[in-house]
Amino acid sequence: MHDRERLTFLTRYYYDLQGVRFAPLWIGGLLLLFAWMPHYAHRDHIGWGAVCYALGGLLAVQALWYWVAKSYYRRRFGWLKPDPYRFAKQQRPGLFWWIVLLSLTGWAIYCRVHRTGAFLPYMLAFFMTQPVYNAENPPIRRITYGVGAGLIAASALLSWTMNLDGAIYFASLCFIMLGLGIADHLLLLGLTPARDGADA
Amino acid sequence: MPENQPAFPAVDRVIHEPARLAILTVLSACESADFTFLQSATGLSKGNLSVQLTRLDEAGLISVERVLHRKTTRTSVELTRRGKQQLSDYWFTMKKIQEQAGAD
Repeated sequence: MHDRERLTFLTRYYYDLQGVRFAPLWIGGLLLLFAWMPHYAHRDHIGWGAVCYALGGLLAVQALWYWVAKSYYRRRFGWLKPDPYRFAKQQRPGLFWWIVLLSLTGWAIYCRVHRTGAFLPYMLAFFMTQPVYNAENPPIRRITYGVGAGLIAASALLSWTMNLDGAIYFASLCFIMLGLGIADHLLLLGLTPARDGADA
Repeated sequence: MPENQPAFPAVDRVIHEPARLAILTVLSACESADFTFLQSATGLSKGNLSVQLTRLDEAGLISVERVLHRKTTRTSVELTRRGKQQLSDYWFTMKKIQEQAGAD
């Protein structure tokens, strides 16, 4: 990546690259899923109280982690005020974005006609993996998010065609989003050079 | 100037220095940035960054503001209107030189 491109990308997407800020949400989601699965298999009744406590605990851990991660990034990499017009300056989405959007619209109409809820996971995958369609991202980030989007869509398709419950889809979503967050963090580390030791 | 040498347009010497150009490139992609972020992005040492910021401030290309934040002083740096204009002119000049060199 050229240095001008690297500096512009790093500055414009600095907050997007702080990928580990949401790590507890995905790890917590997986832990809750694994804790819930044996009860589901035995058709045990789980009271709303337990569910509320578990979700409340998860959100509290997430909020605490978010604050810790935010101050880590501020101390390690610094702080900036984003350009308010950065979205207007972004390159317009290409033909591929329109093809995917039109395919999803067609799929949404099919789901509406056949009264199936299988549409939502694909739309979620589409929105969560927007860096794929943004040409300002380096190829490695676009490929990583592309693979992530493909796996989320494939797990949703598998759940739907094989009449499985949503556990496989949810577990895949948590794993992939956690992986993408870590990949973004590593990219941020890779884009910031080692500080020059010698003073001019 | 010898006749066979192409007459390239003059480039702004203050901006043309790599460290200063890196600082201005970062600032052109955001509204303002603090000292730590500029250091992380450019890889410059504290002393070098401080010298370059003073030079850019003296040239009127950036504005440096020191704000008190939780008992510590934070240095916030912003590109001035003049800085934005001169940086844009610089890239335009560089493009022209590149085109001229390609044509020759």
